[in-house]
Amino acid sequence: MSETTTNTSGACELVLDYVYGELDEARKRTFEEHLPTCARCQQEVASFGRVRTAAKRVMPAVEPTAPLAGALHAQLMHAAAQRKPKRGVLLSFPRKIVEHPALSAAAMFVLVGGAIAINWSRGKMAMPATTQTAVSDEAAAKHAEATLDTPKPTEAAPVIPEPKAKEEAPANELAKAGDKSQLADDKASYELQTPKGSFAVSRPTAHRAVATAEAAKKGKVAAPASMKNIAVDGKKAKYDTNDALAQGAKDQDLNSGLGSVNGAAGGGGAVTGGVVGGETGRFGAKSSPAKSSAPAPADEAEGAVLAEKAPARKEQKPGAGQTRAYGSNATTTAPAAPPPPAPQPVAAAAPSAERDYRAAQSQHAQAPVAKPSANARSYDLARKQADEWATTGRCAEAIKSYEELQKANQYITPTERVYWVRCLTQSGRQEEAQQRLDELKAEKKVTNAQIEDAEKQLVEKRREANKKSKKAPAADRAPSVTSETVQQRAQEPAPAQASPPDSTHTKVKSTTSY
Amino acid sequence: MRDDSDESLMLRYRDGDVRAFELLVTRHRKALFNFILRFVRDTAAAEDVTQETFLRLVKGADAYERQAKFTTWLYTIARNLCVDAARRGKHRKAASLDAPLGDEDGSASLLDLVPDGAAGVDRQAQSRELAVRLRQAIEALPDEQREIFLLREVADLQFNEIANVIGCPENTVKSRMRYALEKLREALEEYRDLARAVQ
Repeated sequence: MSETTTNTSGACELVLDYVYGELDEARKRTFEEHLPTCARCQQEVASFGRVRTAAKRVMPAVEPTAPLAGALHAQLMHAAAQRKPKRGVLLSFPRKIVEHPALSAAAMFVLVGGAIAINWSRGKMAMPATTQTAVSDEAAAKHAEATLDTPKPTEAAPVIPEPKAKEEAPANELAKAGDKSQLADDKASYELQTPKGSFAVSRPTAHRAVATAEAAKKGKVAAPASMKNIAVDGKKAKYDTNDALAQGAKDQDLNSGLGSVNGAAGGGGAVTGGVVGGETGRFGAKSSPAKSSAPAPADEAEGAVLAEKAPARKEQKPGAGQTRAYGSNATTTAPAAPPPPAPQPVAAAAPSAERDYRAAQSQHAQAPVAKPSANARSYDLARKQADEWATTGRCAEAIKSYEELQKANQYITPTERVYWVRCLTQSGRQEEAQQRLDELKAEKKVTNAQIEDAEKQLVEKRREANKKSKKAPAADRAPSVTSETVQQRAQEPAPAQASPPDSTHTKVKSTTSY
Repeated sequence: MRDDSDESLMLRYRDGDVRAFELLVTRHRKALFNFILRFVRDTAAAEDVTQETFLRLVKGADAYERQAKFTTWLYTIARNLCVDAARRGKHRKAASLDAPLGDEDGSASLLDLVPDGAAGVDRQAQSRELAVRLRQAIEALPDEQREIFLLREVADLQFNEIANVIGCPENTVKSRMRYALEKLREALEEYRDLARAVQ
């Protein structure tokens, strides 16, 4: 009866919840109404209650052991205190990198390596040219001079970045320091008069040698070397420049000898176009408003280096070389005269082909010829420029560049020589083109297709020339003469720019990278 | 702070309040240790598991969200660790009921903790026998029933919380609980009279 009642109402399912007190009021009331009517539920409630009571007595609550309440608890609290609250998600990765030593080291490596790689790829990491021999400097200067003799473009020339020579750094420091420099004459050991007494000043041997050589050339004395090398009574000493300046202001002899203090220091630094030693009454170099005679380099000091290294040019152009007049009166040399116009080739009776050549040259005057500088990097740039001109049809410029590269003993690749042949062909210089093509064939360094292509162009050009010669023989003879003239003119500077000695050649080649 | 709920204390600890965590530990350490002790049947193992459970709380504090009851989370961790410890302990010698609770040899055993209710000598003997019998019955319960029995009787979790801890339906929990109680009732059948007397 009771079971039937239980099954029908479903209240028997609530026994467990009732025993453990998990019924809400309504269900509890329902079950309590059901309980008196159901013997089984009554039995279960009683037995479960007994089991629970017995279990509680059998399993009393045990207090945590001493370690758990003592040492382990302290350890746990320490660990809990060590935990840092979670911070922003965005900066979690950078924070991890910074906090982890290995990661931070790796990050530093990546940053530094990346910076080096970027600078390397941009060419800023190129090692500065090492101290070159006097011979190589002279050859480089000759080449620079030859380049400068080319007609100056009407617009600003593209500046070719040139690594500065090592010697420039101390020179620039001296130029900046200005007042700290002290020069008197070009004696190997000389005396400086200062309020603190006289100083015996000597210079290193190398600087002395360079300065002596320069002085011997010009019949003038050279300035002493860097102040760091000044020795006082045989020991290196810090020179009191203020005293020296005060003294120097009074000393006209010293003032007059500062025309190119920074140029002499370090064995060949920058000449800034003149030092106004006499005007200011101070030692050291000051940038003169007068421009350096070297027009192309972006840096005046750099131009001065070139000017310094080109004694032949100095003779030709007084305004350029005189800025480095050691011992002479600076005020007289400072306002360097503007460079005279470059000697233009005589074109009085230029034949028609030569006129064409000149027209083509003037046509591309706005894109000036790159001037290969005295280092390999500039040659590379000039080579690239020449290739570009050759491929874009600007043959005159390309030929000129190739010729300059050849004069400078720069290696010209077979492909570039094919370009050269094409340019010569298109410029009407078939004979020279044929000659160079034969050389290429003999060397067998280019593909047959390239030679055939060049030959084809050459033959076509010759056919056209023959046709023209048939039509107007008198007028057509001129180009052959003209081409020879142009060729001769292109080779004109060659005697003045004799190929450098082997040492120079080796030097330049060693810095060239292909 | 002492009146705060477990969940708010845990949230405060998540934000860096170590004092809140200490309060939580103090509040739950005893019940947790008892549950673990009954589960793993070894005092040293129970200490380790208890410590490890609280350390897991520390590690997981950042991920704590107020979605479930704190006790559910706590006993879930504890139960999982107990299962692992029980698996490892199967190869060990079974814990003796007469073994002392502490490290000292003279400390009380589990049997000594059973109150005698000021009964006579015979009753004390019967009571001890009842306690042994009941413990044996509890030990003999299948694992799935025993853990539910312990969670309900020792940890005092409700059936729905036990269901969350174990990860099974609430009706299953109740069913297993019923089976466990019935088995224990059968074990106590012989000592029915004595049990009544103890009651």
